[in-house]
Amino acid sequence: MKLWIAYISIFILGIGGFAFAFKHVTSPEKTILGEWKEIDWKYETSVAFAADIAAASKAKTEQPEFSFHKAEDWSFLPDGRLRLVIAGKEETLTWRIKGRGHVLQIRYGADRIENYQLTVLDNNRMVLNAESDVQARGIAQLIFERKKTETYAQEIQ
Amino acid sequence: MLRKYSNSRTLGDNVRLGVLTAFSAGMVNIGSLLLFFSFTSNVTGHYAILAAELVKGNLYQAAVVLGWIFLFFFGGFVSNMFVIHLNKKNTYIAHAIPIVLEILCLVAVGTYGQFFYKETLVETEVLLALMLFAMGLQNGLTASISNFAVKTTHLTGVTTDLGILFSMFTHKEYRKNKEMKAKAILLLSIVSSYAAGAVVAGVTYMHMGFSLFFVVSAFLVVVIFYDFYKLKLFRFLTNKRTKQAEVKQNKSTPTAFPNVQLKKEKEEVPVY
Repeated sequence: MKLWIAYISIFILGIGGFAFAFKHVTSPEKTILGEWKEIDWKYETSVAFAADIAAASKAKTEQPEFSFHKAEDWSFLPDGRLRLVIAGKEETLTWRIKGRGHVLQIRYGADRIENYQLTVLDNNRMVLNAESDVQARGIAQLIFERKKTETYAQEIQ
Repeated sequence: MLRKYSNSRTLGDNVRLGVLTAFSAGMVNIGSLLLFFSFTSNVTGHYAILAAELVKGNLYQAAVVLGWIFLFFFGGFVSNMFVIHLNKKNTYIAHAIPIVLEILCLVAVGTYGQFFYKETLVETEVLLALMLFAMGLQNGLTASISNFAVKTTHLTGVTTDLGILFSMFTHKEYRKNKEMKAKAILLLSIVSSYAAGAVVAGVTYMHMGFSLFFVVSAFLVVVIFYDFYKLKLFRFLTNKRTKQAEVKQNKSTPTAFPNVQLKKEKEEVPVY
């Protein structure tokens, strides 16, 4: 009987701990909302594969594996839409966060998907690692900072 | 596959159980990786990720990963609870319940994913949690009923054991050892089946999406019904033999009170 009480107590404490933790931490899905400015992107030149990807992207091949949107404004909207400003033109895509909140998936229409690893995501900074393989890391990096204007996240609060 | 327990199991029992469940685990693992970017049939990597997320201060991700690890643990716990508490009453039922629960989890993932999934993070995390619980159930069951000989959701231990076994086979005396040979056969079956499941999942995912989990469930249904069929067949054959014995008895004995004699014989037939 004592053993069962101990088991059940630990179980309830664990569930309570989780509930408490989830109430006091912000989901990446909420943190990402708002406007971000792309300030830099770099790739590891030592990785030949990464250089190939970047070169392919720069050369604007028909289906580059990743799009490197240099110096763009990214607006993550709560309904899953992503508004990009490319050379003054606005483009709307869709975004999703996958896994444990560590993968940002961006969709261009129905048949093109890009996956980025959310390496850093806090209130001011976001770093995305573009990857062509789930197990590989650090091939190319996109660095953002939150725009100083009132963010969308703040607006909706 | 499921009727026998611990040391009473033959190599054939373990190989059949290992092949089918490893194939399912391989499919689930690759399915979850392709659909949700996370592994679900093993937790070694999750422990490393948990540590990394804690170091980076990503408490949300750390809590999610901790929850997944707990559910894998809880799956093993629930499985073994059924095995140890129901084994003496009905071995087959005790061993089948965890598989039934696993099927329910995977069918739930497949159904939700196919018809209701909106791709929110919470949905993704819950579906992954269900899959980790299902894999915990499976690993707990196979390990528990096979005296820890069959573990099918991850290959770290299996690969290590194979490495050791093949190094042992460099000695002539070990090459002739039947137990070692049997173990190597079992482990190779598990590894190849898991890899085959992973490849099949990778191919079928492109055409089936979430319906992939219905295919995995179908494999697990085979695991359950294989033994169910065997039990039925055994019962059918036993009944047939009993009836033949009755007919023989009727022919050879005088007609006085035949029914009483038959009734007594019927009672002596073992019921499984």
